[in-house]
Amino acid sequence: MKHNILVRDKSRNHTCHEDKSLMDGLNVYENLVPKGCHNGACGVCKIHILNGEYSKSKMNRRYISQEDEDKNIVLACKVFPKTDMEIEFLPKPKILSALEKKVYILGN
Amino acid sequence: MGGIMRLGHIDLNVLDIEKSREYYTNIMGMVVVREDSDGTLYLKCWDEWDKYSLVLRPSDEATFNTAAYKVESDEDIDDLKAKIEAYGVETEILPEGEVAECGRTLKFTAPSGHIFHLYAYKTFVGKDVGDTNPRPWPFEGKGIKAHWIDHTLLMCEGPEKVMAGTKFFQEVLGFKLAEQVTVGPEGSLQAATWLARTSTPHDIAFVAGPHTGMHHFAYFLDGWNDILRAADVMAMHNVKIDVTPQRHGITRGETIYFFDPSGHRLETFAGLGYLVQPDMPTITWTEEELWRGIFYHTGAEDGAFTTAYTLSAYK
Ligand code: FES
Repeated sequence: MKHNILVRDKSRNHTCHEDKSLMDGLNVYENLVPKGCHNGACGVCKIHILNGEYSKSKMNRRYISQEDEDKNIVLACKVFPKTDMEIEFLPKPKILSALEKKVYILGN
Repeated sequence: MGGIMRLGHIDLNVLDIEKSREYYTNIMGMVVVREDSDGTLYLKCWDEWDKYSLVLRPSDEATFNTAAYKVESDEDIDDLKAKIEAYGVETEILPEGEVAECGRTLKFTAPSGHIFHLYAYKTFVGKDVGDTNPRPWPFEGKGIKAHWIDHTLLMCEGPEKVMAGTKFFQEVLGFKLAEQVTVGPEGSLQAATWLARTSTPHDIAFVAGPHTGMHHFAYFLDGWNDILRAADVMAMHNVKIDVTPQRHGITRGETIYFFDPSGHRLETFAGLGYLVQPDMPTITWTEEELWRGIFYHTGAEDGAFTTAYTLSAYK
C-alpha cells in the first residue's frame, strides 16, 4: 500500500510504498533526497518526522541518539510509512567537525 | 622479502547480525566459519586459505574497527614493532588468540588515524577447491562467489593525514606508492594515494575527507563478465548499488560499488590492473582529471561518493 509523503523543506510530495524505506521510496527524485548509503552507516538521511505513523528498524547510534529517536528524529533509510507522513531533512550531524570546514574533501 | 604480505581481514560493527549473515553468505557467497557467543561472525571466501577475511560484530553502531594485515613470519612482528616505535608511533602486542584464530598481534594507530593489526599466524583452513589437482572454481556456492578480500580504502581528515599515513606506509611498512592524486599549489599535496605490498595496484588507499573512517573494502572477481553477473545478482536481491559497473582510471580496476545491510560500502574489484614493481614510476592524477581517474567512463563525480561513508568506531 502506498502513502503520501510530504517533504516539508522541499515543499514536495511523493508516494512511498509500505515495503520501501522513505529513502528508497523518495530516492528516484534526486532533489528530494540526499544520496547516501541507504542502510544506516553514513548519516546523510537524518529526518524529523512531523506527522504520520511509521515502523522503523535499528538506528545507527553514531548518528541518532535514543533521545533523538524519542523525538522522531531518525534515519529515513530505516523508516517505513504506515500512513501519510510529513517529514523534513536535517543537515548531516557534525560529529568531529570543528575540522569539517577547514578540511579539503576530495573533489570539493 | 618478509614483512607485510597482504590484507588479512576487515573488522566491522553491524546493526543487524542476522541480515548481515544472510547478505554475506547469499550475495557475496562467503561462508560463516566461526560464531562467538556474543554473536560475532567470521566469514571466508572460497579462494582464501586462512580462516576468515571478515569480522562482523553485532552493535548499536555501523562503524569500522580495524584493518588487519598478515606478515610473513613471526620475527616480522618484532621487526616492525621496533621500526614503528622508532618512528614515534606507540604499539601494543595482543597475546595469541585475542584476535580470534590469530597468533600474537601488533596493534597501533597509524598517522592516518586508523587502528591496524599485524599478525603472522591465522588458523589454516585451505581453499574450497583444495590444493591437489584443483578445479578452477567450486561448483557449489552461492551468489557472486567472491574470490578473496583485495584492499580497503580509508578516509582521513584532510590531505595532511593522507600524507602522514602514506609516508608511514612507505617508509616504515615498506609499501610502494603506485598512484596518487595531487592538489594545491603545484600539486604539492596528496589528496589520495594507492599503495601496494603485493604486485597489484593497491592493498590500501587513503583519501582526504572530513572524518576518519572507511570508504569501502573490496573483494576480487575475475573480470568484466563476473562484474556484470555480480550486478545482476545484486539487482535480483534489491542490493543498493552505489556505482554500476565502471572502469577506474586509477588502478585500471573494473568495479561495482554497493552497500551492505548496515550501509558499509563494498566493492567488487576485477582484473589485476597492472604489475606493480619496486622500480615502477608512481602514477600521478591531477586535480582537473581527478574524476576521470576515479570513474573512467563518465569522468564525473557521482553523488555523495566521497562524503557518505562509515566512521571509525574509536573516534
Ligand atoms: S542513507 Fe546513509 S544513513 Fe541513511
